[in-house]
Amino acid sequence: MADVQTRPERRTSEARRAWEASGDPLLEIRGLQKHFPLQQGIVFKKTVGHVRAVDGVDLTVGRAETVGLVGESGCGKSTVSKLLVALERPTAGEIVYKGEDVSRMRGSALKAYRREVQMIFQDPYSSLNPRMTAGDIVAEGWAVHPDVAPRKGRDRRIRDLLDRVGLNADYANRYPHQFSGGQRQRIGIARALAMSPELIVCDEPVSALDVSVQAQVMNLLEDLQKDLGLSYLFIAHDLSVVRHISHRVNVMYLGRIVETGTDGDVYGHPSHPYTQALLSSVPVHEPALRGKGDRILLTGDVPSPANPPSGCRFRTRCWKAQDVCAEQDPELRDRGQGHPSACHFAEDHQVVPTVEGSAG
Amino acid sequence: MSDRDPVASAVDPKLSRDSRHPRDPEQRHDEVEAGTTTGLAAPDVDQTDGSQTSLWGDAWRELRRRPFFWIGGVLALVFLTMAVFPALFAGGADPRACSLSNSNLPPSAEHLFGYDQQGCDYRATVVYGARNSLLIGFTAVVGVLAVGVVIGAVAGYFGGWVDSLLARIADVFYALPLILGALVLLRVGPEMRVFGQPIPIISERGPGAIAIALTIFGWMTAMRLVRSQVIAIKSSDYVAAARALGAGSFRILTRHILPNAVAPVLVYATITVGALIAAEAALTYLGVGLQQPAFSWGLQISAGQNLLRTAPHLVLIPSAVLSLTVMGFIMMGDALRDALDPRQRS
Amino acid sequence: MTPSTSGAHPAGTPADSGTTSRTDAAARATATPDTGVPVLEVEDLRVEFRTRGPVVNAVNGVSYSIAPGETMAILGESGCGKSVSAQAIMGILDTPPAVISGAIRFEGRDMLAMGAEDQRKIRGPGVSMIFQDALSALNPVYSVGYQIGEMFRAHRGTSKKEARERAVELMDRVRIPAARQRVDDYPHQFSGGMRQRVMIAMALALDPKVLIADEPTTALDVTVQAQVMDLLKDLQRDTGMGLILITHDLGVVNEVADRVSVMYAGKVVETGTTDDVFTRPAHPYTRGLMSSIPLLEDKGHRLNPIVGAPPSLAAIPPGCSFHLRCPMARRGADGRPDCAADVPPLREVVVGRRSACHYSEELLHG
Repeated sequence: MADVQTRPERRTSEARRAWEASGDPLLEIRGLQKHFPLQQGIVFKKTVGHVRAVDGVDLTVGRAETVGLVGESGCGKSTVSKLLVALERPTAGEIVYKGEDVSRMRGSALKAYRREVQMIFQDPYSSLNPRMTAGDIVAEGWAVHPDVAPRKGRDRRIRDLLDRVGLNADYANRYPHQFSGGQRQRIGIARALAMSPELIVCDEPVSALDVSVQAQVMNLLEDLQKDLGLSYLFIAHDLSVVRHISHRVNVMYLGRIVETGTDGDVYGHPSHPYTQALLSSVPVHEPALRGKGDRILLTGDVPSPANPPSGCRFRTRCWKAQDVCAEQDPELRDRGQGHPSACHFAEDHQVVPTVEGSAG
Repeated sequence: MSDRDPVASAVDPKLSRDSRHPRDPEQRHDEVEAGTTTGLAAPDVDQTDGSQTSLWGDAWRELRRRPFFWIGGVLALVFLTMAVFPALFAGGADPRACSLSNSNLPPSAEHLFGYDQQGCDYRATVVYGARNSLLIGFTAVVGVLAVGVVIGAVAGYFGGWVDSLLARIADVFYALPLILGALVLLRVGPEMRVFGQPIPIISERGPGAIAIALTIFGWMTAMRLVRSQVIAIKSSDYVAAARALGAGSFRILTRHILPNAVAPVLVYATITVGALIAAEAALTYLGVGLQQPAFSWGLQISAGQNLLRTAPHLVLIPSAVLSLTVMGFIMMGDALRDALDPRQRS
Repeated sequence: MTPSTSGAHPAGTPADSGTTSRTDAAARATATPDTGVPVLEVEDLRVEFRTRGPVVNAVNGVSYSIAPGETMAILGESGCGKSVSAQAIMGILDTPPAVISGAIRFEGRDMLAMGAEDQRKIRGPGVSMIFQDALSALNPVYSVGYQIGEMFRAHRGTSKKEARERAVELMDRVRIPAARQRVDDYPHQFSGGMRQRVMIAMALALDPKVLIADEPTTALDVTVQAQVMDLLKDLQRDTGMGLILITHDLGVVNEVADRVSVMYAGKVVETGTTDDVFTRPAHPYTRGLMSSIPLLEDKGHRLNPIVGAPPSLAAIPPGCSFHLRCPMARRGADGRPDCAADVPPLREVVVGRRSACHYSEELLHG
């Protein structure tokens, strides 16, 4: 199994050498923005506005760390994942990977980056080419990056990879439709592993799976991290799943990070009203905790990212909103609550009931 | 009991072991844990389909059950054989050995299709007509597909102004009906001179010229079909996955997009063979297609129309044969569409 | 009717946070159909799909009942037949290919034995249903007001104007803001949560005795899910209807259901009050589900998932359908049942609780 993670020789640039010496995080996102033009007209397109899908996101991922990114649909978390694997180009901001800015990468540098940063997709049904066998899907990256796996012994490595993700290696010749959802997701993981990546962007990797299968895949991801020293950016809408797997958690709302911290900080001591509302909406699984938490029901809908509110983006739905919220955009920093939060009135307020809490 | 045993133990060896050694709770925990890394490989409960089948394999199994496919397939095969080995079907008669004394004789026991106006054996004449029809049909379909797939793939994959431009060009061609466009080209084409030279193939008024005319005015539907398929597949996650791996446009188009777009194109092509064979007959009938002394069903219908009252078999027989050919391909295409369309599968 | 109303769960109101779960459970226990007269009873329901290829046994002898004011959850993973059983009640399965047997009794009368016209009279005023995907369940070319009003026109012959008024009232009732202004809007102009409210308004138009909600919040974000579940609970308290909640989400079941039936491979494998089932599962599948889910309140340790994946309904294993994935499965020496061969009956293991496992007692007491 050890040969699954043999890494090829790679060119080292000056920036990367500096990074290796510095001990800086593996990935650093600064002020990341992605605006999609809103166009009208069929032949002559006219830009009538911009959807600010991602509007100033800061995020870091350390070596062998799992960073969670959680938010509701339309908050821009999937766009962040696409920007990270260079499927989209940022409008502004930097994605610094090992000391180098990804948005300035071209040609072979970009190719090398794409090898090191892999992605696992949400839908196990649409993320595998139905006309290719499991083995071909896993091996596809080697056609683009031949240096990752010597031509000789590729079959052996396909078998090793399938085995590593918990699939029967004899299934290499089967087609995706012959596998269950959980098995397909494992093939997708093997495809990412085949590149011997450093960072895997997991975009809702378990949300399409059944509860019992979801846990298998999460355990697999944890095992792989332990054995191979991988870093994960774990994007999901399920707060429990994100807490379980992440070392640090970022909460996203309307294109911005509103709160960040360790899982204990964010879940145990949420300080942004949105985080509090989000956490209080999650149904608890234990009868003893039912009704113990503080329920905060939000009203209204998420505003359109094409026309976000001035100042704080959450103010239109926030019960704490004051005049200052419309005027000043709150920056993401620690206001004495112990971890960064983008709220002028950030304050620790426990909303998730715990067994100890309910006993007292 | 005994008949169930092998099934259960083959699928889950753990189970038979347990019957002898009931597990203690600790051990049970460990095995559930163990299942998380190699779990799906061990109890193989969701693998009901053991054989290694591709989507084409499934489609073939589906296809085999459809009577329309068999009827269409047999018809197509018969006419294909007829086109390649006409002598097998001509019953020993030579279509060039004619005797005016037999002119317009109706079908009889020895001469199933009777004789035409020149006194040629009509069975041989009709059988020899299959070659031109199928040759033109297949060549034109290959041309339509080549043009349609390339333009459609480029328009769909690159999008933007490239797509707009190509779509407008297709619209211009759509404005010209197939038959009308081909008619004009075949009429004017042979007289056209480029740098004082006649245009090759077009000037010959042979099957090649007709195939080219049909291609030029018939590629748009294939293009639109491919374009819409490519656009749909382009946004799928497996294409995003390939792009994230660093695969280039050519690889993505040829390995991921086109193989998945091919099914409806194949269906369209099969049906279109029939349509193009009919179009060839129409052009020939209108006098701009094949010329005497070539053998063609269109020519035969055209020649026979004046004798419809006295010798109706001269029109009816080539018409029937033409219809059967067209129908054969359309039936095959229909069956293929049903077999390849997963939405219609329950 | 009276005990069941008090059994309605007071989730979400912070004032109730002082009540202990014991009194809560006691209030719930009174809502069991043993005391209330069930309004809808499903007995030994079987649905199979006969198409080309193997027969798909979607529902294999499922029984449940629902009393007025009660919330019963049907919990299961995808492809366990939980939605098909509801579709059979609503008569929206095409027969053929579906073959339905058993009994579906509404107020004592078997719907499967009635003519189509009599069935139609029950569906709507008697039993109605909301679906997961509200966007595809609404017709895009009619305004939401027209679609809600259509319920009155079709079933009651109400005039167009009157129907529109009733539509506005209903939209108010499901808390759609500015109902009068939005009554002529089209489905695509509403957000996901609002569309689900429109669906609920349509389902409630004829004051049904039973509402079946098939994954009503699965497509919604968690904050919207909380709003919709609250709305459903409040509406239930006001109308006293029975609510059948079909879901895969254990949290939702815990928050709103009085009783729960856990389904696996087309069968009910465990049933009981939510508190009992969640605190002490009597079936290894239920226990496996519980240990598969990560918790919000605690980072927790390694998850303990069930091995393998649910079986295809076209190839359900013999014996106990769960035995291939079950950590407790036995070969049945000394005259004890063999999990691979003997089908476990759904039997009472403790008072008020039923489980379809040969070895439930070991799970409960061991």
